[in-house]
Amino acid sequence: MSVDAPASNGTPGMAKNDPILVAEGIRRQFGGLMAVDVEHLEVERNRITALIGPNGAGKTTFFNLLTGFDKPDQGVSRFDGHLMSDSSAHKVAKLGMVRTFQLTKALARLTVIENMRLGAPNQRGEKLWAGPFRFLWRDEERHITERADALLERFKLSHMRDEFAGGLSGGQRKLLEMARALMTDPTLIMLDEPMAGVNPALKQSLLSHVKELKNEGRTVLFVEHDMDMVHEISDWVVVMAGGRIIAEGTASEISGNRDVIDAYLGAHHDLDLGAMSESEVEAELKELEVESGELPSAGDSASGDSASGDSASGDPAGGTA
Amino acid sequence: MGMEPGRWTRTWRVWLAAFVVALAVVGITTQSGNAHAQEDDAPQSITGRVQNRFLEDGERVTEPVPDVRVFVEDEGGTVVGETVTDADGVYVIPLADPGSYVVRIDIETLPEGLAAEDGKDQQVAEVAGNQNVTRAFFLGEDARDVKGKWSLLPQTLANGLKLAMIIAITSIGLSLIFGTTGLSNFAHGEMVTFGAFAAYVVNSDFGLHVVPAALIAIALTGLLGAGFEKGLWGPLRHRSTSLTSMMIVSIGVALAMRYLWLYLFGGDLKAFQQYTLQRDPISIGPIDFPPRTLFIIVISALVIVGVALFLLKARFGKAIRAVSDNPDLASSSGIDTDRVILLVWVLGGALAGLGGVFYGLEFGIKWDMGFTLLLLMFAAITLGGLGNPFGALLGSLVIGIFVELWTWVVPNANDLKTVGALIVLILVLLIRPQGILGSKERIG
Amino acid sequence: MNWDLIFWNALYTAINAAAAGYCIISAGLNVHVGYTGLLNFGQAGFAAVGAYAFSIPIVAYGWSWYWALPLMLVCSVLLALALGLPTLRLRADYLAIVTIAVAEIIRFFLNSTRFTWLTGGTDGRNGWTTFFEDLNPIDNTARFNMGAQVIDGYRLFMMIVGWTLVVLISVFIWALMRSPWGRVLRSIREDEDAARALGKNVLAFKMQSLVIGGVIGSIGGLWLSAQKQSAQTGEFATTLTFFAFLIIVLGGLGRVKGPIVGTIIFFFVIQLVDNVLQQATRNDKIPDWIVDTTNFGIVKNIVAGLALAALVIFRPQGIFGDKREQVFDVR
Repeated sequence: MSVDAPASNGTPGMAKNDPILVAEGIRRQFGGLMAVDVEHLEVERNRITALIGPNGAGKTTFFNLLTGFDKPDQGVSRFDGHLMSDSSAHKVAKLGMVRTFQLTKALARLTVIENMRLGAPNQRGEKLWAGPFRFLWRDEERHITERADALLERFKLSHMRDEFAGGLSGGQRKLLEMARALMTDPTLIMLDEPMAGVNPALKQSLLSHVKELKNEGRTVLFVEHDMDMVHEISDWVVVMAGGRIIAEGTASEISGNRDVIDAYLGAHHDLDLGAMSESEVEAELKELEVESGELPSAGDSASGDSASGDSASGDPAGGTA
Repeated sequence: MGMEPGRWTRTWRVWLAAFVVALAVVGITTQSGNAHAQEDDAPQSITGRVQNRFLEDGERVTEPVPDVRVFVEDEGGTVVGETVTDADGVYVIPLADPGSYVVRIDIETLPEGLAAEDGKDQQVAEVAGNQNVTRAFFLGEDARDVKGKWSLLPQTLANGLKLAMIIAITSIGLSLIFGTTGLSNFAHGEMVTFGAFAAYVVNSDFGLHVVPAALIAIALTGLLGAGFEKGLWGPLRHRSTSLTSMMIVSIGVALAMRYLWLYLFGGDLKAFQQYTLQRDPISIGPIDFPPRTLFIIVISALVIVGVALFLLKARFGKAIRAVSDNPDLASSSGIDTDRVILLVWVLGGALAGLGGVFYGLEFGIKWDMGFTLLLLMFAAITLGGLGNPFGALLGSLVIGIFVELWTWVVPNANDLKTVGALIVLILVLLIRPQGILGSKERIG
Repeated sequence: MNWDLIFWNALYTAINAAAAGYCIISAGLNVHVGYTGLLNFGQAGFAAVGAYAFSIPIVAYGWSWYWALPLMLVCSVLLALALGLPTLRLRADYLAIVTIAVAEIIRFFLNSTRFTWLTGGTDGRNGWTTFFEDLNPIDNTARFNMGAQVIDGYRLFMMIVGWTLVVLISVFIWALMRSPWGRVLRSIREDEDAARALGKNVLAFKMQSLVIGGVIGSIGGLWLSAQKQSAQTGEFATTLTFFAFLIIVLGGLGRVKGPIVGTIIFFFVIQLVDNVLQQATRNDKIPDWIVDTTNFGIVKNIVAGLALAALVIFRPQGIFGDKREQVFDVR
């Protein structure tokens, strides 16, 4: 845990010294369900902020709203002084706020290096008129490839450089997605469950990559279930439940917060998930579901959050493109 | 390919026949006029016919109107001759001198409820020496003489309702299949055609009355749906074939089926043995329908209400809606998704079969009728909100009525009938892409 | 049975000027479906625009071809915009439904008696290909033999120029698709949200793809009519689109060679089936209750439909393709 976290124990929605992202009155309803109802949230620059909460807390939906993948019914957000509320996803990304996805979106039939090159912003070769004429973008492409190779080296993916991304393991895909996001040179990088489905051996290297992002001067906001990771790398923790921000603070402050424990227990969750192995958690969850008769999420208890955030992918409509 | 190939081919033929008959009649009256003129010792005359034009059974019919007073005025407005139409609606007015005349019908002598079409109760005639000039008068319903084609509006709307019912019945299945499996099934139209041809074969080749034939056809189409699910779509879904691939598969299947019908039954329009010609329409206010059409509308409405109740109240119906809302959630809460989807295919197939029989009764049976209907069905369910069966009903109503209204607004647009509906579809996508009842999340 | 003629005719059909036209139409569709993942079920509409927006101004208004060509291209771009604007921000289904609908609208208009003055009705539009005839260095009426198949000078010329056009267009597509622009298209095909998250304006790229593929489709439609010396409405039915689909799936989606390989195989096999059935029915080798002289031509459409479905299910990578390169996932 970091020592330079803000001094006071956080009340939900508290002000930060140098906020890079400010969300105000963001609301999103699905049918009758209020999926996200965030009064006020500030994310401090050059910090690693964790967004945690029980299944169905609205974390992924909130991510979608911030990054332009979904439109809030109400409310505005500001990123680095830019008003974002009506920005579409690609504009958000161009401004330097880049996200990854809970279910990795490695572009399966592009090679790893092509995945990486795609991440580079403002390419001249991506203009239709320049496309057919290689001499217009050859130098640029070489430059991009150098950067991509360096990042692949850093993320230990160089040996997979020319493989189709579809052939990567789950953990490698997570790495690739993070590396690809870095190709855009983001100011704020938003990771949606970077640890989900990653084997323990890769977890450590992923953790160090995330810490490195901060050292490079970037801001990180991530959604995570793995409390070990939250404890280890986050400077600040924001807790969501039922679509609201219920607490903020350092990881240790949050662990002792009564509201947070209630929120988790209310959702039949054990707060200290990190102490259990994944299969134990799964077994526990199943037990609880049987007891309470409640519906579990979309099957993958590790990824969670499906009641609200995943409604798009649960929908048959989601998988068409 | 017109919207309803059978009906419109027939209509055009009727028009052609009417035209030929009219020419012949004019020729005959002209000759008889000559005869009169000679007898009356007047070398020139104005002659013609007074006829009533109206819609019967969706077709335009003309009939002669006797006992109408017709008179001729000269340029000064003096009446120079008058007569009354005979049983064939024919009048002949001999004239002593050549010149410019105005021929008028006395609207007071018209049968009740009729008026001159478009208010044309007088016509100018330039009569040269030794010439017979023909001036025909057409009558129509009374509303016409003030409002023109407004009198056709109720019938147009009623025809639209009829079409809407058929679209609704066929598109519920398309919508439910989309809702539960995510598949836009481009072969759904061919299931409709299958239903119509199945009933046709049972009806014509086995000599069964069309009602039991229809029931058999409905059962067979339901079976066909089950066969599709068991033999094709279910296995494809289980190996997680992408929806894009499945759509291309469905269009391949549609192509093969459509041409199979052409191969089997030929390209001509077929009709059922019963209920095809019904000459005595039932009038409801300004609307005339043959009894067949009324039954179709009533049965359709009952079926639609039944399906709606089933979806809202029955356990299986609720399960269908649950699967539509969120298949993962539904399956993890103990709903057997595969069984629900199988049921949807059977139900959707059976409804497609029924719709096919109805469509065949109204517009005739043809190998590509399903494809024509498919575009309207897609327009309807997109308009209502993809995957929402109640949206499909609403969308069908809009599309059915719009198709007919379009031909009412744009004259002689019969061969462009579906165009209006498709243009509406595109406009709706521009303005409200999720459709009338669709939720925003669905558009992804 | 005249096997010699059956074979040579099938071979000629696979490589004649009409096949070149189909190949170009399919290459345009490949840009949509194979590279971008856009499900365009209305490529026939683009082809029709190509034929009619070029021939009408020439025949009805006496324009010269070098004015008609840009008009045709503008019309094609406008059609792409009209299809794309309402649908491209929505799910793939909407584009599929709207494209098939618009292609039908176009065909309704072409067939409508109200527009016979413009479209020439069932006679089609004729007499606009003199430009090609004048350009032909070969005698237009001369006869050439290709095995047992006889070809006239005009069709030989159109065949050679047509396939040259195919090569040029293929090189253009190849150059585009190896570029970063093509990379974005492929990323959209794989997962458009990922592309969006990396700051790509997915809508704009899809639109560009729709325009490029549509314009290529229009050129193909123009060629299809030009080699026939007549623009015929019957040519641009929905079956045209699905033959093009079959062609690109056969040859392999998202590959430059796909449309060429697909076209040759498709027309060879289809024409072979057609010829065999035709000869067999004429010589009473097949009983009439199976096929007769009036319906043997329908069989190829049934075969094509089944083949399209079977290929997508069993060999989505095309008949020569590498499984890893198949465009549509069997996840």
